[in-house]
Amino acid sequence: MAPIPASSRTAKTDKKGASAKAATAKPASSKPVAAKLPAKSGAKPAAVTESVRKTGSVKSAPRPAAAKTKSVTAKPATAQADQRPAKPEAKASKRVDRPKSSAGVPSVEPKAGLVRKTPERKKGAGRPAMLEGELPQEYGVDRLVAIARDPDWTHLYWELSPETRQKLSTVDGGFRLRGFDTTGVLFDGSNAPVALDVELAPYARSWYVKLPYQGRVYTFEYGTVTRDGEWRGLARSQPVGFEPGMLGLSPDSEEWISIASDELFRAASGLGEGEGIQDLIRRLRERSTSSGGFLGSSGSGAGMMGLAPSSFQGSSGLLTTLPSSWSSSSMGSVSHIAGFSSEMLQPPKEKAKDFWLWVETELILYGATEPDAQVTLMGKPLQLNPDGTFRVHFPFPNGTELHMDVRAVDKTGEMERTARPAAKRWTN
Amino acid sequence: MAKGYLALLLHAHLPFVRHPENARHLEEDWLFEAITETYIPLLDVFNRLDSEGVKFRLAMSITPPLAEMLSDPLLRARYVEHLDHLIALSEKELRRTQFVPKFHNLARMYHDKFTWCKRFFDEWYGRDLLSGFRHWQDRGCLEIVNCNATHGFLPALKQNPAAVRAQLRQGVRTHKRHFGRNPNGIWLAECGYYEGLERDLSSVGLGYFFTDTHGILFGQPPPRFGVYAPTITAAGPACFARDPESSRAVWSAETGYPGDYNYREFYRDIGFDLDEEYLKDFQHIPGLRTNTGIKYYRITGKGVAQEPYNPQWAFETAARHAGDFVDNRRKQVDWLSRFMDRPPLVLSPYDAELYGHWWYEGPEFLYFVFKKIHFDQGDLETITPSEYLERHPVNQRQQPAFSTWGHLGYGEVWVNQLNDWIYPHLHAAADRMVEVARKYPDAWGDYRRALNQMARELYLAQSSDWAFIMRTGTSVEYAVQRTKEHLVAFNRLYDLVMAGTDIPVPELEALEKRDNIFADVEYKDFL
Repeated sequence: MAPIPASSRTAKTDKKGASAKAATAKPASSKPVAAKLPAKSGAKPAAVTESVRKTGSVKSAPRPAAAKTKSVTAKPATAQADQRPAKPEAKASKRVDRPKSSAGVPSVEPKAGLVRKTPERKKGAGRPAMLEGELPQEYGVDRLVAIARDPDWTHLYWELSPETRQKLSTVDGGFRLRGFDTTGVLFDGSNAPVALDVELAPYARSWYVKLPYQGRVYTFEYGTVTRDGEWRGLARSQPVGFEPGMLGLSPDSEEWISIASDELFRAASGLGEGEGIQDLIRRLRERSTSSGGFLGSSGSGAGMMGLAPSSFQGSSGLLTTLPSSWSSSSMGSVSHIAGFSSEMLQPPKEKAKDFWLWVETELILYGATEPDAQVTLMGKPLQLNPDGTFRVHFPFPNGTELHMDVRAVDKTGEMERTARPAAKRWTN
Repeated sequence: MAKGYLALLLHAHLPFVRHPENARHLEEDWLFEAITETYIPLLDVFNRLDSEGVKFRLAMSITPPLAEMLSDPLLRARYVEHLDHLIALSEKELRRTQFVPKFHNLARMYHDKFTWCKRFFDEWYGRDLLSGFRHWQDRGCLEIVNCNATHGFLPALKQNPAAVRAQLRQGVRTHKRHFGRNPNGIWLAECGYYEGLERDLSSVGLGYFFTDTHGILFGQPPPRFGVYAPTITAAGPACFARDPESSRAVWSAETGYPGDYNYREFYRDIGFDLDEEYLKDFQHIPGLRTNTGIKYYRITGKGVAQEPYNPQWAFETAARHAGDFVDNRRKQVDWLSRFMDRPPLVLSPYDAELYGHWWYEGPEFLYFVFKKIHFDQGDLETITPSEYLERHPVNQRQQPAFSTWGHLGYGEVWVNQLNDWIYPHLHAAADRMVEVARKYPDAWGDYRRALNQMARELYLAQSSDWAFIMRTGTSVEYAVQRTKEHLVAFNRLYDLVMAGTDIPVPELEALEKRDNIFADVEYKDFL
């Protein structure tokens, strides 16, 4: 079965859906004029994401007393956005694939006009057959893979081969992720202290885990605790985290203290007088994006997003199609779209502070005559549609006065009809 | 000698989008719009600067997929068709607006621009824009920086080191084919750097790379000169980091130049403003609204009715902003030089497509920046990264830190709940690629073709653009489809090759014709 590109099923909003049919005056804004300033509208959801993360975050543990075990049980229902199971894979891809109705994009769609279907997009006839098919649900191997998302958070996913799963039929305990502090160690499964232990939801296939400390190296295992209370690792990740000095430069060299110039550091980091590296780290954590922070004020993934025509299907585009740099904080506003954590990430119910309105007018002149007639508008020839209809869409800004003299002459040149509508646009 | 340096870097990148199976394909417009609005205007700016005797230096990363598309005959021909559609539409607009001079003048501006673009592209450059960029490279004004093969986000691919090395090797090879020389340095996709990556960069002969500000600031030991001088890694390559101040001046949504009320409003396009009936000849599919590039309004203000665009005001504003930018960089280097034993280097990287596509007046801004630096002052000098390293080869040793230039500064944009489902598949495919390369280290005939096509499909699936799009929520279906189809094709070939059966050549050929990136692909890069 070929995957149908979801675009063909996507209902999108046409921002001019109403005005095109209706009349000469456009409805007051189908999109906010503040579009150039997405940071404001987007900043709030981002902040919410952050606070959710904070309130739910795992308590920080003491400095790594190497042998100490930190047991963490993340409960997806109440925990922060990140430390929760990703949904099983099949669901995950389904979720992404799902057509996004306007209901799926609550924060930005409702202002737009009518919701309408995007025209069907067909796959080209010459499309190579090898592209058709579905991705496998699994690859039949035992594996646990860790991707460092940032210095604090690691994404882990895993898979067990059918053989391994068969051997597990009598296991009592549920599955867990166990993190070992393997800093400076060539890990053999037993020569490093346990630093982290995460109880997993039964069908979880991936997880986001917060590492206890930066500057340490962790290796994870996916496994179970046997009836005898012994750890049974079934798959092991590569190490994550970075240990200073690993690549041959000593962080404790004399340069450590003596060379950093506070002034330059501040200049480069946007810090104020009296602030130091701790403030910079704090800011990074707070992810301040709108004004003071330098992170997130950057580009990523290219302005190409803006080149995507489908992104302009509705006013939703206003927030999501800026170059990622500008939309840094509006990113937050899309993070709740997918419906995986909508309660947690609801945008605050705050009224817009700056109420606004703008009104514009355009004017449509239309009519019909014999298809073979010659028609002029204000002295200039007008092209008729094959059925004899015609339609002219004028810009009609304030102060315009139009005398739309229409003159039609039949094909013999004997008969003539004229009409002289006029319109004037002013604002009281 | 100047008190300090300004190193501008424009990162020009688009994912590889090429659909011979459709007569017109919506997403191919990404390239066409970028050509009209950014790449041609940039070349035009370089030409004008040179004819006025202005010395200028800058760097551009023209990524392998973009270079491949710009040299593809099908896409070149389609761009000319695209322009023909636009010229026809702008002629219609000339008629429609003939009674309202303000709009009529703008319609003429677009009509002139599209016809000029066609001459520029078709007649003057023989449809080969890369030759234009090569020209400025050979003249020493432009340093073209490399990028990894398909803009794969390396921090999320590093689970398989061979896959990372292959991305780098293919990137360098493609660069050399298009630009006639080995690249000196690399713009890592999304500025995605992790500790240790420099060893692989060094192994393919890359002498420097870039990180975001915190790549150097959080490096070990702390940088003596902040981000105003590169550092040198233990493996050899130098690391340049972004200056936050000049970035903010352009990027910031609140204080950045592109938000000025005199500039053209990006979001008012006749492709959305006019009736479908009127637009039907222009639309790819009847009823599917798209941007046309014809935009009549200026930003005007917040919460007010938009007014017609006034090109004169806009270009005066661009000149004023350029003056402000140069003044501020001068003040910046003047202040910084008090703390340094060498002229400070201000590195300002931007997405190239910001200039012209998003910020319509952006190319003019650059033109004025270079002109003012050349004629109006002596404190500031523009420079390329390689020139800087030639002049100042001795720099502090440092281990830079994991960083990207994405939102939040790390990997969150490319690894989150909206897109993390792709990684089990991408990683499995990378492992399988290494597996088949090892199984057939000297393949020939159909098997060699199949293995090479597997490498292409894997590279295409690895583009960071798909994960990015899934995260931002626009064109998601296309990104999902692209990720899936390349992996599906990859797995199908993998099954055939592993089974040792005959390759169905017609099917393979169909795939080769469509996903034809990297004519010089080499599956052995995965060994």
